[in-house]
Amino acid sequence: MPVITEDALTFDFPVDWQAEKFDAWSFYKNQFSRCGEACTSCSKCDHKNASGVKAIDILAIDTNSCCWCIEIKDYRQWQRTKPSDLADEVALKVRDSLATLVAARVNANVANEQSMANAALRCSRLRVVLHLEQPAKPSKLFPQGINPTNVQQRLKQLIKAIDPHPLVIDMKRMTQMNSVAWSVS
Amino acid sequence: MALKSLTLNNFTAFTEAEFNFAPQLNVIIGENGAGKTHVLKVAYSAIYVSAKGGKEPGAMRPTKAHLQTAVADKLIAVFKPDELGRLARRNRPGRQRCEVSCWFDTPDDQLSYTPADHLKFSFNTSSKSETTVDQTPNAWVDKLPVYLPTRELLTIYPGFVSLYETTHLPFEETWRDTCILLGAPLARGARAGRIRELLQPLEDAMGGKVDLTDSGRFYLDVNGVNMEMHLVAEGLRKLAMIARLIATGSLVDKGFLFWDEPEANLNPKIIKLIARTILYLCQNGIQVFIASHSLFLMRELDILLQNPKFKETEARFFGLHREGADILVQQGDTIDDIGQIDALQEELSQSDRYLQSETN
Repeated sequence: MPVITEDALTFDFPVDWQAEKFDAWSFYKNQFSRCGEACTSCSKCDHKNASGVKAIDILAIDTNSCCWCIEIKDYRQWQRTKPSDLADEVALKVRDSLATLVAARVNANVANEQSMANAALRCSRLRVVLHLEQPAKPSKLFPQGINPTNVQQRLKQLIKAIDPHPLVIDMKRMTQMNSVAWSVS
Repeated sequence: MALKSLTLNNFTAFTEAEFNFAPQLNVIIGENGAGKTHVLKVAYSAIYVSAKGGKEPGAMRPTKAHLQTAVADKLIAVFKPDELGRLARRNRPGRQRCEVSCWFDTPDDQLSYTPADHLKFSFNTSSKSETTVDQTPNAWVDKLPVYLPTRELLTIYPGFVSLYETTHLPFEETWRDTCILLGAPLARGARAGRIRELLQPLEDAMGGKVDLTDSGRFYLDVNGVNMEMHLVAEGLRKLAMIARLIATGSLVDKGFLFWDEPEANLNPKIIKLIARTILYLCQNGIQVFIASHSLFLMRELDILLQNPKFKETEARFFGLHREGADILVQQGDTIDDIGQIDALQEELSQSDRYLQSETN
């Protein structure tokens, strides 16, 4: 049974799934991320900025030919991303991760990474999931500091071409909705 | 007959815009000042003029001469500009021309020899009170459209129409038009069953039935006891207005409903009911156009459109976005196709501020 731990969260995937910490792949860290050193310049001030490449946290492949891109944001621990930027950040990570997979299939040096990239790109469906744990202190007016429906709707607008039904879930919601096959503790 | 498309060139905030409408539900979304109400009003005015002439005694086919004056008069009465030319966009010096085109879709079983009826009119920035009709429709639209403004009209109804006709009142003519429809007699005959079905959930929510007495005042009949409309909650008066228009047959079988901010003055519980009512009206042959800011209403409609009961509803969504001095229209079959939704972005920004306040 693949088990992946990301900070304070542990993801348990079904036994016949493949799942890996994607942003820890050697191909991503040592090879593909260099693409992000390419500079884009702003037409107004001609200031050059590295475009940057980012990757999702977990890549999983189920037994029904579906590839799951999972990003984790635990606001109990960190509040690095503003809620208004959250969906945009996930969309860019998914886009960059798909590009990473294409290159990894032909150029990854680690055999396991190459074969998983190959398996991911042979899948017939792509799903995107944001695992969003809420800030620890809710209030009466903000029972959820970040409304997952808002983030999900914005994400849906951005990545409709990749997954028209992205999910934004947390430990509580995933149990209630029974929406995914893995568990998180 | 449905409004299939509308094109605006140099009309108020729009330099160039095309709206391809669905025959059932059309939702227009945008921030304040993006032109949502202008779209509703120009489409309403065009349909009203295309229907009203057919109701006149001895009406023949629409003529250019009639429409030239009728369109101008209606635009002035609905938009209330100082003069007609104020509705033409002024984005550069000199005289500029404004053009509006409406295509009506004609069902195959009627007038099948005409692919679509087309009304096109134009005027320029110096026009006082007359349009040029460049294209005359082949036939009259068969039913007057209904326009619901953001506030309810039942409480101003008594005497409003006669006052409007005899005095100069600074109210838009949509109010008068809707008051006339509110005062129409109750529909009878074959449609009664369908009307009852549509009215039931509204009457359940209001706790009574809408009654127009001989004195020309509206009351809510609660178990035989009449309550003055002024004493009924503002949100329920809006429901009462819709209920009355259904009962009189204006919103049954076929027709057009333009509803500006249906959510105004309503709590979420009633907005939920309004969303369902809108889709029931669509199912009953009404082409509905709404302009909204409410994320709650949009989501309610989106949820209902996934429901097997309403899944077949043909819907279009329009996002109006400011791009410098211009308005850009993004449209599609789902709410995800219309670009950024300001109400959504503001909710997300509020989360930013809330989390920030928690960490301070």
